[in-house]
Amino acid sequence: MKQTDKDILKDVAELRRMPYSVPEGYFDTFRREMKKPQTQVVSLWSRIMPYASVAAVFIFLVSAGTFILERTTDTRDFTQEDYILFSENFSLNTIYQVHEETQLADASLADEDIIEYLIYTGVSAEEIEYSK
Amino acid sequence: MFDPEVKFKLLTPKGVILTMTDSEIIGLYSGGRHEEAFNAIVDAYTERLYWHVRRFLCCHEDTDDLLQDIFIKIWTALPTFRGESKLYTWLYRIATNEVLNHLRKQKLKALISLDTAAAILERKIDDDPYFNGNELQRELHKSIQKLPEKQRVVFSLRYFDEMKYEDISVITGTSVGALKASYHHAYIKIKEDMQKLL
Repeated sequence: MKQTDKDILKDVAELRRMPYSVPEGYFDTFRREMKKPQTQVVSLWSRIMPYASVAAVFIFLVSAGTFILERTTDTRDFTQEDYILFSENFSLNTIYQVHEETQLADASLADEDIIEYLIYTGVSAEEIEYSK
Repeated sequence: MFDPEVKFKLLTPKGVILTMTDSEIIGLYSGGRHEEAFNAIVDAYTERLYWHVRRFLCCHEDTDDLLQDIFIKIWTALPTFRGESKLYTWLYRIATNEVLNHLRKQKLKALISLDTAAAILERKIDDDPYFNGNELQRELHKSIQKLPEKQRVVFSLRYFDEMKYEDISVITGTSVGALKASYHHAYIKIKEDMQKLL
């Protein structure tokens, strides 16, 4: 009778304790494997910075290019007279002049000069005579 | 008794950390920091849910497998948590449902092997290399395996976790009155089983 009055579930405190155990380091390993890799909170500036850098470099190159071109290009307006004056100094004109001078020079060659040249190049006197 | 609003120290390889309270975890989640909130749940609830599951499955390997499934389920179900119930009752509800599904599958397997599910679980307790309790504790856990499903859940949450009936009611979806009756029946059965040993 005494035995049935006893409430073992209440009286024996150790019954509420967990009688099982786990392998060493189990919970640490479990937590490490189960956790999600955290996505980093990226600020708006960090997100747009690469695009802003590219845009800044582009703007710099365009500005620098424009500046250099403006400094080195003669922007004066040429009149027709300027073109004529300019063309007189043009090298092609000089070439024509040389050609004309050469023609004049050829025209003034004397027979003696030609004969001298032919002798110098090894043509015999008979041949020179014959060609005359 | 478990209070989800009390932090506890957690010894990790990186040192001692304080777990977050349920309100802090919910705050993190509402602020869009979903991974951090989930990681805080893992920190605060791994051990609690492990022991809750282990009491039903007895064997460490089965518990480990099921606990992983439970946390995957928690992660996928987290967007549906509206904060209408307490976070911890919501987590225990997921874990308990998973345990009961697992036990039902085990019951079917036991039918095929012409054995009872309780007998299989009792054998698992005897063969468990990680059981380091005394004979009284062994018999108590064997007796729990003989209880019907609902009685086993209410007995486990009330006797070991000292959970309030109102919270158990949220977890199991059963009225407080029915839970009290189930607990009473379970208590009497186990007490009778245990008295035989004395």
